[in-house]
Amino acid sequence: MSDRQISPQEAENRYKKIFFPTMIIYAVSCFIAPEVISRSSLAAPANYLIALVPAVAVWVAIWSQARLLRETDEYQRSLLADASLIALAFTMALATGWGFLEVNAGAPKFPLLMILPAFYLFFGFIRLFLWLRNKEA
Amino acid sequence: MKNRIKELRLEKNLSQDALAKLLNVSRQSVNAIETGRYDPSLPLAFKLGKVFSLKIEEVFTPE
Repeated sequence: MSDRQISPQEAENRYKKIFFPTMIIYAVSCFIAPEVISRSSLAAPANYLIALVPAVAVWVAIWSQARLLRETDEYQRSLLADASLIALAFTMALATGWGFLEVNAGAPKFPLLMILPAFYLFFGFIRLFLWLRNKEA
Repeated sequence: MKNRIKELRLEKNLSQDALAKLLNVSRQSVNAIETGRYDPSLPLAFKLGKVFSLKIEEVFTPE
């Protein structure tokens, strides 16, 4: 990590260039992939590939975040790591709580696909909170 | 940890941004270190000492 050659700003730019387009591909393909599958007469393996397009976008977005963590400076890395861990804790708490509500109290099913948006919702709020807390005097 | 980074930076007539560029970190990192909100790693502390031509203990002191 200490032999990083690029600046934190370059790392952030590299991250944004990958992360935001992949999130757009994810959002659009979430709607398009089921349509394509329902209207086409493709065999199962081809359908699986189309169904996985949103997931591939997410995998690339996760990789871009991991790369940012590796390439940014140590202070930014600590903020990102804090935000990721807290968001993960909130997401697991939500999923576990809702899971017990489903099993024990017959609450409506919470689709697994919503785990990722929930994580990024928490992540965004926590990054905003940390930014406000650490805002320069 | 307490540090003299702001004082040393101003002596050298450096902006936070200029010091950040010398250290290859973000300006926010320099600000966080200066204001004591973040303690740098040993390699970064050595880099800071090198920029100011001082030993680490002349830049940082335990609280």
